[in-house]
Parts: sequence; C-alpha cells; structure tokens
Amino acid sequence: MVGRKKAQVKIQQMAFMIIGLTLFFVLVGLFVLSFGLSGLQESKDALDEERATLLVGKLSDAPEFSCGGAYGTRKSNCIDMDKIFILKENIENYKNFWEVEGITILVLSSNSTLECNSNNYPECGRFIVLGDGKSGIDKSDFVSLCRKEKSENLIYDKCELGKLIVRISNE
Amino acid sequence: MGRILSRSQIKMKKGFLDISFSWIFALIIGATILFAAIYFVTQFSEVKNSQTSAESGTTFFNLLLPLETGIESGKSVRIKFPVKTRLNHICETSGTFGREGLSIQEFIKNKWTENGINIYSEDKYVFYPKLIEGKEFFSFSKSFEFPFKIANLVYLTDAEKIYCFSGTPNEVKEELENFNNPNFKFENCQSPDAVNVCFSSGDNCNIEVKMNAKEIVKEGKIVYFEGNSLMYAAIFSDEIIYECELQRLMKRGVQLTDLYKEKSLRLYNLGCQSDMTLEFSGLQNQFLNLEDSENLYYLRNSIEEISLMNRYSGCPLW
Repeated sequence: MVGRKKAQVKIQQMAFMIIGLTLFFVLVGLFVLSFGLSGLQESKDALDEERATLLVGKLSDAPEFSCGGAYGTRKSNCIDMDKIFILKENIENYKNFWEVEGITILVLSSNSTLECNSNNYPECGRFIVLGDGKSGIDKSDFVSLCRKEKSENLIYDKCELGKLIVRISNE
Repeated sequence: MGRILSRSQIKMKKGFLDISFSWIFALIIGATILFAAIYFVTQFSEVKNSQTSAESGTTFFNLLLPLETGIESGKSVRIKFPVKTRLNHICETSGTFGREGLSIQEFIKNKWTENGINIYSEDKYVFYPKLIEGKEFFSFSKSFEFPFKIANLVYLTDAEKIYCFSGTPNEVKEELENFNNPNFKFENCQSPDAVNVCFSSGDNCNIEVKMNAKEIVKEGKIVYFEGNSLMYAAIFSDEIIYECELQRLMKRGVQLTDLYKEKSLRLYNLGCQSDMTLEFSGLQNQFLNLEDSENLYYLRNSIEEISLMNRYSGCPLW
C-alpha cells in the first residue's frame, strides 16, 4: 500500500515537472518568435518609408500627373492641374495603383483652403486625389502646378507653387 | 505446491531491460520536446527565409523606383545582391492594370532556397526573362510614348552576360552606349558565350532584329515592336513576358486615353482647338482590342495622327 502511494507521488512529481518543462519551452519559443518577428515589422516600416520618400519624388513625373510638354519645355516636378482634377474625379481605378494611403496636393499660392471640386476649380486650395482620411506617415515635396487659363480672349499657361503629399500606412 | 523463485529469476520476470515506468515516460516526453523544438526551428528558419526574400524583393522594387521617374530617359543602375539570387518573374494581365510580380530565391549552402513570397506592383513594367539568375544585375530605363507617355520601361540584365550587337544602326548604338553597360559590346564581338544580337542577317545570332519589319526573332519565336523602347523590351525579355507586359501597357494606355479625352474637352471649352475625343475613342478601342504584338502595326496610323494633332494644336495635351 505504501509502495503504491509512493509511485503515485512520483508520477505526480513527474507530471508537474513535464508541465513546467513544456511551459518553459513554450515561453522560450514565444520569446524567440517575438524577438525574430519584431524585426519584421521594423524592416517593413523602413521599406515602406523608403518607398514613400522615393515615390513622392517620382509621382509628379508619372504620366497621370506630369505636365509633359503641355506647358512649353518638358519640366521635372511639374504637375498638370487639369489632369489632376480629372484624375480625382475618376480615381476609383487607381486606388491600389501606387500602393499608398493617400495623395494630396496643396496649392500654396492660393488663399483658399477649400477642396477642389467642379464648382470651385481652379479657385480652390487643395486636391485630395486619393485617400479617405486614414492616418499615416506623410512625405512631401514641392512641385509646380500648371494649368491653362483664359483671360479675355487669350489662353495662357499659369503655374503656381504647390506641395505634393504622399501618405503611407503606419499599421 | 509453492514454487520458490531465485533473485535472478524474479529479475528476468520483471523484464529484460528493467526500465521503470518513469523512465519510459521521461523518454517519450523528452523525445516529444526534442521533435517539437526541431520542428519549431525548421519552421522559424522557413519564416526567416520568406522574410529575407520579401525584404529583398521589396528592396529590389524600391531600387527600380528612380528608374521609373523623370522626364529624361536612359538612366541606369547596378543592383547587387549579397548572394547569388534567382528572380522569378511574374506578369499578370487581370484587373485594371494587371500587375508585375517577383519572387526571390537565394543560393545558400550550395542549394537554392524555397521560392519566397511573391511581391507585386501595379505601376512597374520591368522587362527580363521569366527566370534570371546572378549576383549583380544591370538595369536601365526608357520612356514608352504611344503617342503620349504611358510609362518608363525598365530593362534588367545579368551583369555577367555579354550582349554583342552587330550591324546596329547609329541611333540605337548611341543610345545603348549611353546606358553605360560594360557588357554591351559592338561589332566583331561574337562569341559562343555572348548573346549575339544581329540587326543585319548573320551567323550565330541569338536574337535577330529586323528594323524594317519591326520584328524580333528570338528562340524561334517572333515578336513585334513599335519604337526603340519596345525593341529593347523584346530583346531583354522573353516572348511570354513581352506580350504580357505589352498588354499591361495597353491597359494603362486605356486609362490615360480617358484622362486626355477629358482634358481635350476641357481645353476645348476654354477655347483651344484641341477636341480630339473622337480620335481618342478610336485609339482606346484599339488599345483594348490589341491581342498581341503582331497587331501593333494597326495602331501606327492612329498614333501618328494623334501625335501630329497634339503637336500642332494651340494647346498641346502632353
């Protein structure tokens, strides 16, 4: 009877030991995993940020934005406001194209802060080309904003100072 | 009648090995923990491989970004990987723009790692074969205008591969020289190790470029081009990738045509003589209906006509 009790105690001891060991290894595994994967998020953020920095310099030269030769010689960092206005109205197809959360263009020389729409264009202060108000990290660059303007019977090129802001996700 | 057993007989009866339950239990649990640990380490190393592959792929795409920018053409960049790397090229035409994809394998401990995570991008048009290997790559870009700029095309070659161009027209030769690729050789350079690109008929040609017919014969297959940027695209990629990327370019062309159509109307309302909506509608249909590069020829007239109309209108659209 005494021998049987002794064996039961031993099995209990071992069970506790095994539970302890398993818990130890699980904790070690979790620690290693979290340590390893914390680098993953960091490198993703760094790559996203690098991409946004490069993209903000590039976007103004994308065919959907750039002035091309429409306003005299070809210029770099020149955004065609007429194109942007049209693009903004039909942005649905471009939602995932540049893989950014948002694209906003500010007309720095304008006194207005109103968002551009068909009623107030070109007397407005900003184009929210893409983005639904989600938060994120902004990268910006100064650009020229050009459009055709009519004064009496004369059509001329009007260029203003603007700011292109690209927003990337911070999630 | 009772039978008296000796000590050794009792021992034999207990079992040959005389292993107690606690030992068996400990062995089983020990083995389970050991196997679990090995499994965990293997899985973790696979996750790490995928992470490295995804990081390399994203870095690679980021490195190509400056090539896509700008109004100037002919930029070049050297891309060096830490180890020998295999780039698996993916091109898909579904969706509004299709997409460019890539998965990376690395040559570590004398074997290729598993195929990594696929990285995709909708706004890139990179021309290289379905599979390319090397430690160092050379990439350069050229704008594709048809008739307006549709995208900058990026070309990628293995830095160890020599391209020997013979019979090259001067204009093409100058442009290729401007890419500053030391592996581009011209005239009297044919060798069995090089990729021999012949602009005039000759022996040992791996790639034949027929400038007048605007066609390229490569690995027994014919593809067609319009303009130098598509010609380079056909030379440095393969038939499947070329045709796929061409479809993607046409898809972007459709979207841009919409943009210019609207812009031409807007400027017309402002007083410019730039209403080209009819021409743009026709071009858009041609973009949509282009089945393969063989049909590029049918677009030539529309492209020239729209290009001239834009150049001589008082208010150019691009």
